[in-house]
Amino acid sequence: MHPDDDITLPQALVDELRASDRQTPVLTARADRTIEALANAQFAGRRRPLWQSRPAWAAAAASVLVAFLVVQSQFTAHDSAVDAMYDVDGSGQTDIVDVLALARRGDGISQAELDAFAYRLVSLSVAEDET
Amino acid sequence: MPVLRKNDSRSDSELVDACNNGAAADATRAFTELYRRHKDFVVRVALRLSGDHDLALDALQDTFSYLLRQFPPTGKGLSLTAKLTTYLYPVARNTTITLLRKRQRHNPIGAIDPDSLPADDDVMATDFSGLLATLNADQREVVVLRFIEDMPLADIAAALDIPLGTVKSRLHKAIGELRKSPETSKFFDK
Repeated sequence: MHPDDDITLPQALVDELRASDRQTPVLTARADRTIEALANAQFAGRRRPLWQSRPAWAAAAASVLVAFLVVQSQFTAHDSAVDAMYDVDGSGQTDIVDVLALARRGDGISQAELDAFAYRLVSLSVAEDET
Repeated sequence: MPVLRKNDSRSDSELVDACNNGAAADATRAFTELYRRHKDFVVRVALRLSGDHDLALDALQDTFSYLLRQFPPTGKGLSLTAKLTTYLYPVARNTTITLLRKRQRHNPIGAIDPDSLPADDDVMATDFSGLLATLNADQREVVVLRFIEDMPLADIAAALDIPLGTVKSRLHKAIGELRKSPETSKFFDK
């Protein structure tokens, strides 16, 4: 009984009602499997956000970090237009923090796109140094 | 691996959130846990309306299929503002009535007696051993939800989409009838 409800029936009558309602549903395993299959199909297209995928996230971050640090030690100048495009955190420069920020944001970005962004950072640095 | 094997300690609300926003595996796990928790309730609702186990199982699948479609990508997601049973009750009720009517159409001279089909205002096939025989369908419905399903009055109002005052009024009248009924008056004398 709920304390805020003052409309009650005698408990013996409630017990009788519940006893008379006791039809045992025969729920088959097939019914359970059907629901499970429907749920699998419904949600199949969803991806785990990158920041929740720790092994993939850690591997991606580590590889990007190593690549970026290697290049940054040799090259420092970046194209300003590209900087603005990839300046995810709005810091005024494009760097590894932006890669991490983009990955954490997880708004549909794939691992390939993340890798491409990191590669873009690296290749830009190389190109600028060569000119 | 079947996801129905393990229970989940999260609340219904948390499970609904996982269905709305979780990754594939977690959303599937959350939904099947919601199904595990509430399938008996849905089957009971369908059985009371139809008295037919096979139809109740079909209603069960249709009800949870409907619930599933509320979540992305086919739906916008579910915002749970009351108990899930409050949401499921009208779905199960309407699904069962729809299935009964479909069956009638497919068996025009068959086993289904058209008079046995519940109309919109007559929604309880189970007679509870005659204990509720003196009540009309609306009164029986609120009595069952309140005293058998143990739903709070506000949840009943939400599930039936009627004002709280109407729920109370129906219950008061139902109890008055039960006090007078030869089948149930003895319970009030004790």
